[in-house]
Amino acid sequence: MTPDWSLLAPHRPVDSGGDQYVPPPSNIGEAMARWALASGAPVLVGGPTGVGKSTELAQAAAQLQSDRAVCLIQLDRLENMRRLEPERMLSRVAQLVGQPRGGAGQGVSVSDVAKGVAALGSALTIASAVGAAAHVLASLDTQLPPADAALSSVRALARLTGRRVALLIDGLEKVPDGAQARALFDVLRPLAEEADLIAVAPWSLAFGAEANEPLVRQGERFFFVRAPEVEPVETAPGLPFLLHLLERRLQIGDMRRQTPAGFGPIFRDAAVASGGLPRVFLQLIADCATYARLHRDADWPELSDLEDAMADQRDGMRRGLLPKDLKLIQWVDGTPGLDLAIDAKVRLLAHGLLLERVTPAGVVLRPHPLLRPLLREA
Amino acid sequence: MRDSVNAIWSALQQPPLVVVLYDDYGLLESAQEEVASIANPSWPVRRVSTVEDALSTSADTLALLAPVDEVATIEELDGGRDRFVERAVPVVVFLLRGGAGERALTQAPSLLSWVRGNLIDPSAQDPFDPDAAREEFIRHAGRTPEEWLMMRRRGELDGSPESLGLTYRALLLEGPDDLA
Amino acid sequence: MIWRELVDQHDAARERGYPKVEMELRKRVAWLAERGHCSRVYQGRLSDKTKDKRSRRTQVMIKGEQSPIGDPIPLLNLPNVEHPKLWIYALLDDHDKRLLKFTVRLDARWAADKVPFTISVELDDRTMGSGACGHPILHCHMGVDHDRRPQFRLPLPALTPWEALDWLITQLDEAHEPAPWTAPMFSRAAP
Repeated sequence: MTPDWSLLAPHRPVDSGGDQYVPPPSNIGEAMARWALASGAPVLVGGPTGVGKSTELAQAAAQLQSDRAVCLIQLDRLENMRRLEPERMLSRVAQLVGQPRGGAGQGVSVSDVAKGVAALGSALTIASAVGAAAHVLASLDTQLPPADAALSSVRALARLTGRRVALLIDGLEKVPDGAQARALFDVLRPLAEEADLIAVAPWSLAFGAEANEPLVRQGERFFFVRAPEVEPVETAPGLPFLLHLLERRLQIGDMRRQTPAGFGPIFRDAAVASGGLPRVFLQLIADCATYARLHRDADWPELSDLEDAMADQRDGMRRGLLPKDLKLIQWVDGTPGLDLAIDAKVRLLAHGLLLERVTPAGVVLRPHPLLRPLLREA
Repeated sequence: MRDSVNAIWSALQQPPLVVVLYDDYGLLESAQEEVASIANPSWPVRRVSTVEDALSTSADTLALLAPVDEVATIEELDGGRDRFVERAVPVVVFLLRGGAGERALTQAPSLLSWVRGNLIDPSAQDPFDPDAAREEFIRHAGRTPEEWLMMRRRGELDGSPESLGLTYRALLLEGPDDLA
Repeated sequence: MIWRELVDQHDAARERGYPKVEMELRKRVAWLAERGHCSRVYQGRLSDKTKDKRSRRTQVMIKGEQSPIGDPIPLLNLPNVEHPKLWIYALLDDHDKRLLKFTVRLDARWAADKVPFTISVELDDRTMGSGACGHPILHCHMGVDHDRRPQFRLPLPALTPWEALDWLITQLDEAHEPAPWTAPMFSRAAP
């Protein structure tokens, strides 16, 4: 068989409710949804780049679909998050809560809610629920200030669907400045009183000095998405997860039976080299498959192709390093990293250059496996 | 086997974003031409200088983005990389090697996590070790490049493709003064 | 004397052939791939990245996976020939910014009678043979192969490597005609 490697699309999170979703060992998407349903308190989610925060958020949205009027707002597909101001964010929230699904990337909207409700046999029909969207939109026509428009939209949606609204906001980790992030969360506070709020936390507030400070209000819960363990390969939970992920993305039923024998070691090496970060893993597999085609016009990669792909990733990782970072990483390797300067810690964890690992002695920091050769050189 | 042409070809298969470093401003034009020459010839090519311009190109266009303000561009791509998620053909961002844009990548984890395998630095990816290449030649041909070229000058080589390839390799490894 | 003039023209073409040689050759390989005559991967394997800083020379070739001497491009969908393989080489002098040597070579067999043949356009890096007529600096070998007779060396005008490749491709596929008989300069010659 010849796999279509372009299906790997490492940069693309799995859509909400998509059949490509594979629960990670931590099953955080489901846990977030359960917590939100049980407590109604805001939920924040954080973790390094490429660990699957957006995918887990989308999964939480799918889980909430049967109980809530769900709005998954992928702000980063619409806005430059570095320049996002509170009013602009609220305008987007107001617009997207009231807008039937239009273009790609706008998440679950009223029309989806309507379909979900109709499927459950509710009194609402699809037509009437989509009609409700028009009412919601009407509230925007009143030229309310953005904060009021957002609040009005959320209330209108709740009224018209007969459900509490769940607002899931993606992309906020890309807000680099702590004060800017605080300002954004401040304006979300009134909405969190009306709706279940699940949002990705900015790195500065997820890893930094304010990591334990509430962002929205007391009682909120922070979920940290860690890369699953991939070593030792015999027992690490990350390997079956990544294998399943590969099967779903490539639409192959059973990789163990349907791939050449030589692919097993490549899968294992790529899984270990990824550090358990799904995006890095998918990038490595996609890259080495491309090199196989380029080098030999072959359908399946060999180990030399994976080495080339790993070299590319390592070169890219090097760009995230400042001159003294390798020394810092060596210094904190195996420790909780309490002595590491906050800005360096935020940067290294956000980049995935340092990974948090759970050990019997507690959470410790470990260098990303792809950095090991660089650390040896250092 | 991996050089920057391979790496560019490979990166172009994997949208949405690619970063290519260039050495000096005088080489920017040829860096762009090189990327265009490696790209699928059926892709339309557009040269742009801002993220907004890149966003305005259709998803199946190869957008060559040579930013005027590299730092602002990196920050904007870091903050809004997901706006490019639907692209079928990549946007290629050209940055001065060692310049402010490349340095800004250390503060751009979102962007970097997307382009990590798609970051091409020809100066690092095209190393050539002439001593190792000589040893490889001797292993392959059973004689030094100079001995090989002497045989060529005496008309002792056959016309096989193998001889042809070795002759080019020998000429590459031979010192310039030897080319009488 | 025409043979001396040809030598001068060939030498002048070394400068014209230096810049962008790799990109121009790659465009032709891309064209072949577009027409289904070769895999697209060869576009990404035609490289000039073999730069020897000591000798200040650069080698352009289709990089091989294992061997240092380069690979041929197996050509596809050419019904008149079997097992066609195309070699592309160029050697550049980065110090004097000139083309030292190039070869564009096709080996195949005619499908009808299985007779092998080779066509090879070569620019020599130095004078060879007894003179400019018998062994022109830029010439085309045509024969069964490079060793057996009949074996001929035909003089060519001063072509760059990519122009030589244009010529060679046109011999295989007339659809690629870089100078069709439609331009005004050819109208007088039209029947």
